[in-house]
Amino acid sequence: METYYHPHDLGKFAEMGKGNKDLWEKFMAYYSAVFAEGALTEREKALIALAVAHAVQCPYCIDAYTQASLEKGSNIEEMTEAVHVACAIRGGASLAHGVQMRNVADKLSM
Amino acid sequence: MNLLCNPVGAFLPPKQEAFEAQFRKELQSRHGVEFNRLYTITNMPISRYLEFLLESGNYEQYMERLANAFNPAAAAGVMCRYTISVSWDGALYDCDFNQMLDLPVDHGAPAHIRDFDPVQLNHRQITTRNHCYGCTAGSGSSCGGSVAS
Repeated sequence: METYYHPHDLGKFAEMGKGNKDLWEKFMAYYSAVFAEGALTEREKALIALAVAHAVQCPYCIDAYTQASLEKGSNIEEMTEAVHVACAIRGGASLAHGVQMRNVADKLSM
Repeated sequence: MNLLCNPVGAFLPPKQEAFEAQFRKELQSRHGVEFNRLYTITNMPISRYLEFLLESGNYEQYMERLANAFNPAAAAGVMCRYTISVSWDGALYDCDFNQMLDLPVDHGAPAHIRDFDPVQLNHRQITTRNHCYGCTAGSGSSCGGSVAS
């Protein structure tokens, strides 16, 4: 079936380096540093990445960080909670903008 | 008490050191349980696990994952370099996985215990197949857990 996103395209990610090797290498160096063990564990960072992947709705990132989370030792309950955190923040962000709606409505109303 | 962890699915095991620390913390705080070591072991793409990979459509992706995670440092510490498996009838195998696959010692050393020759065995060429990527991926895998940091 023809789809816009192909799972095997994730393997072509490195081809982005062909357009600008310098920027690609800088990005990858930064990316590696970000995900290295630090104040947060690699497992915790993978869970954050999984949640963000859902927030930005990147299918490649969802594939990659579902696998990474499992390989870092997270279980499906923890991963599901991470997705709910993304869901809550996205939903909460919409709802919080209801304050703007109320502000405008208050100003317009008699 | 030592704990053993195999991934329950088509993915690699966590890093042993980090996973051991996580388990030590969780088991202590939740259940007051202490243990000595936790060993992580990679699932070999053979037998029942191979059937699972094929039936679930994960075989190609898993093999690619293993191959891409090939670690020369892990390859230097794999068990077949310093142990052999002996079957009930005395046949010699480079490891228990090769034994399961009926791949006896070959390439320069006798394949039976009656002809046991440590010098020749030390210099034999180990019989390898695609499943060997299971022991050389990431931090490596052996009966004693990972073999490289």
